[in-house]
Amino acid sequence: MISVKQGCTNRRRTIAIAAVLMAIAAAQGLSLLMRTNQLWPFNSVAVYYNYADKNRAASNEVFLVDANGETRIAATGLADRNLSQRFISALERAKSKPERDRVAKLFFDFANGRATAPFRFTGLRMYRKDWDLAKGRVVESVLLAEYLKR
Amino acid sequence: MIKTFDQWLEQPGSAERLALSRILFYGCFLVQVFLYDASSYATLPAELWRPTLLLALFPAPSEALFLGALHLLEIAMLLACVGISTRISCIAVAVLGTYVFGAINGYGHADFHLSPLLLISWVMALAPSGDAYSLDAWLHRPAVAKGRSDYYWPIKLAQVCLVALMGTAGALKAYGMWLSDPAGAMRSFLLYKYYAQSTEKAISLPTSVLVLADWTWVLILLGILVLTCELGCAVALSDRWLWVRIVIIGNLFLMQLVLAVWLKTLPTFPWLAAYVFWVPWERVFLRRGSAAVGLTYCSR
Repeated sequence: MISVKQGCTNRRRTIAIAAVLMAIAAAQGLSLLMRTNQLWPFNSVAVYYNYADKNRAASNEVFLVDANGETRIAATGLADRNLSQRFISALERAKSKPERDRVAKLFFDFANGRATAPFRFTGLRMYRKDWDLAKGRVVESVLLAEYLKR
Repeated sequence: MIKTFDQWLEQPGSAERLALSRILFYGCFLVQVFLYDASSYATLPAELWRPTLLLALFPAPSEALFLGALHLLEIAMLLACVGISTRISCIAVAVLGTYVFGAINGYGHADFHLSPLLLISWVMALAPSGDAYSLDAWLHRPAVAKGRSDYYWPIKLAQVCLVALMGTAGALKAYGMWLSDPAGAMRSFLLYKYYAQSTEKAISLPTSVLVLADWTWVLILLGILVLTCELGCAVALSDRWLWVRIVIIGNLFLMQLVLAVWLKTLPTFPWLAAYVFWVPWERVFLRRGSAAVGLTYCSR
């Protein structure tokens, strides 16, 4: 048998949970409508939902430079794709070439700081590569930012 | 409507189910934090700091602060998993997790990778999940009322956290290309993963991805399945149709598992821990009438 006190507690809890549910639904709904991630941890979860051309896609690639050429930064273990996204977002916000190159320098310094072995690299380049998915190859490569140590 | 909501929420729960979910959830969450390599975000330059609304008033964390909070978070997760000072540990995970993962997502790029786990950690902070299978319960032997709804609503709310994000993903796919061209969307998704994204990650995916990309009918079925399960996952919250829940949530789990293993997304797509709240563990692990940690077995 449920006492009056227990009943009141349950009712208060039900109302609180209903409020939480509505808050979750509202925050998720807002994220979806505004297509924003600013309400994190609520998120629009925009996972490959739309494209202008289903055979085209772009990738952002970051390379470290040394005397032998370029090495993909993800292959060095100094920054994975997730980490690189933070710098690529900054690159997208940058309005001029010097600002973009500044991002490349920040990324270079960050990678240098994370290196446990002697850091042999002398520069960093950030590219946007456009893919033809049907053919499985890059059709255009654009150098977005570059930093080379003097 | 209020009555229906009350009935949905006020059902007898199981302390064992909630406790086993707690152990699995925090255990998986801890593994995921290591896979995610959260410590690598400690030295991001403050110049990139563009926090989301949640941390808008906070400055970029120093390396010492970030790593300190992260290590405390890992300890709190371990304590919550084992069940030492369970309530405090769960609250610590929620607070520290919000700060640490908020900071990770505060450098101009916020993603959904850990969103459901963080939302669920707030549910668990309010839940009496340490009443069974915890060191607290073993030492103090709290009185556990059989079938209290206190053990039921956290499970439901944790389920809602997953469904809210999944439903959003489905709605956006339906708004995009997945409804009008499921095969094209699925093929494009697979090829993007195989070529563009795997190059960014410096990994190679199995060539079976390319083989699948040529099977149009399979792609249509898969595309429709993804859309149906994501859009329909809210139905799985109902207690009325158990088979619907098994089909929808089972399929979503399998699809995420396939993504994690086949397309190598495990470190960055850690929603798997959110599924532990969908399994009636007390029925899987315990036999009726068995006593565990000095507690009475609750039948639900």
